[in-house]
Amino acid sequence: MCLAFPCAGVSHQRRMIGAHGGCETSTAVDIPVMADLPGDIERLHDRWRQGDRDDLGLFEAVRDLMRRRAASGIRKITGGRANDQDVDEALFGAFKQLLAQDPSQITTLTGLAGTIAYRRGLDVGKALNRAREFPGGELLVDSADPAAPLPEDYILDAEDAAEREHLVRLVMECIESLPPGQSEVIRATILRDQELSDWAAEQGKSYEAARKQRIKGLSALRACVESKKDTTMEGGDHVG
Amino acid sequence: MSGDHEDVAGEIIDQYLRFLRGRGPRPDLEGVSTEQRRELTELFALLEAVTDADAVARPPLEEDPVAVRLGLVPVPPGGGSVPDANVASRKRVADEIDVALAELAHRFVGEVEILPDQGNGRGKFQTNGFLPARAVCRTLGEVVLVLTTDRSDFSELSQEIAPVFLARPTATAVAVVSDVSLLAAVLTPADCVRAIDPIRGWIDPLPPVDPEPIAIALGRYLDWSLPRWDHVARLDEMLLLTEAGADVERCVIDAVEDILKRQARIPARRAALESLRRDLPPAAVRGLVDEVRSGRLTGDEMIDRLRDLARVSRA
Repeated sequence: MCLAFPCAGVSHQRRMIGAHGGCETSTAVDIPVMADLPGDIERLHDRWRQGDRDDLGLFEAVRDLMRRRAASGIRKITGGRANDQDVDEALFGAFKQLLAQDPSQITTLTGLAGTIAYRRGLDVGKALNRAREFPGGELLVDSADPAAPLPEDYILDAEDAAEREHLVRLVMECIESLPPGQSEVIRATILRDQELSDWAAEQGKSYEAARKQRIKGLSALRACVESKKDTTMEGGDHVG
Repeated sequence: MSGDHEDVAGEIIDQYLRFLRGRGPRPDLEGVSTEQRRELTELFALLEAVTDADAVARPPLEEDPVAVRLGLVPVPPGGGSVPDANVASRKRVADEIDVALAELAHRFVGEVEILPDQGNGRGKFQTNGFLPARAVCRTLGEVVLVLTTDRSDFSELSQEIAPVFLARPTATAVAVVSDVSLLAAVLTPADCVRAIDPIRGWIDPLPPVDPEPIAIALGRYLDWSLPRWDHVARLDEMLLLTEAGADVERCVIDAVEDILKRQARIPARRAALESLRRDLPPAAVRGLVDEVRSGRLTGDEMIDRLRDLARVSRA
């Protein structure tokens, strides 16, 4: 999804072959949020309910969100940044589990995808901790049975996860509306894990100046998100 | 957020980001005002949602390893086999070995040099399932190759490793790490050749001792192989501060006194110490030092004089 230049009007197939899974027109703000617009996910969900499941389309639509949530789950347990192989391991199990669900029972596809990915990320994180504690053993991830019905707390968490994804979308949109310096510092030090001191050195700024710029940016970001939330509530926009 | 609170807020936000990334505790909001706490709490929700959102890899769909593994897209040309958990596991194990080697380098800093293998194909060992050397550990007298294997059974290791020493004659030992179990064994050339036993005749190489984590197995070997430098009593003082002959005598007397202060419970040791006090004349040591300094006494003659001196004090 391109936030500054949305992909509306570009066919699904054309977007799918884009270099980054997003718009073919590469821009500085080409940050996929859910890899696609919510409407497309709804359309995929509808097709699935009708028995015409598009596995590749579903994977493309939710893979970024699921990777992000899986990485978050791993980080929660291990206390460190997840490496790509571990995230992929969690995503593999989570997507299979998502496909095994009954589509008629899913109220929010993005929320459930995020919740499952987060839980599988927790599993991978626990396995990594076990492997660190007992280095002689193999890395055994507790894999959930994909066919087993999901516990009730998954459904509750899915609602929260859908709201969180909506919040992520709003934040990403709002970052584009910030002045360039503020959006850059937020993008580098929050979205991308660059140390503020490193970023300040790159920009030729003092650490204090960079920190003030980030605080101003976050303050503006919060105000922007709040206003967009209000607009969404007034317009009755769909969340999941 | 008002300017007055920016410093406090900046510090708290830094702490919260460190907390989210597992590098610190959750910040304490006890000291902040109610209004600021509300603002910070809302910011925390934003940060929790998007922190490191862009730090996750997003490969192109047609090259996405998970899509390939799920069979949703074909294996990319030149991409080799379908990626599976073993590949991820092997990469992780490789990381673990690197971490263990880095720990050893830190533990033996200044005494052990751990380098990537520069064999460049010469003597690299591809047979028997062994991969090229992953690293080389160098000490003053040792060159230890670190090899990895995809097996965890080390019972035949001694015979299998023998050709490695032929291919890499400078290696004094080989540490073999299983990338399945992460356990390692260290073998020297003597462990890998047949030996003659007075009773049983020729015997085949014995299997290595029970494998251990690489940091322990290789660490113990390196620790054992490092040279031990004994402290020379008052050497610095003798070399730097004893210009005059009287200073040399004083230094010898002090060194002997230091030794005699130690408790000796064994009668023979007590007698030896007493002999040291009685039979080692500081003047003799002074004469020896003077002759060495002036260049009149060198080589074997100096060794003989030192031996005579030691014999006198031992008598």
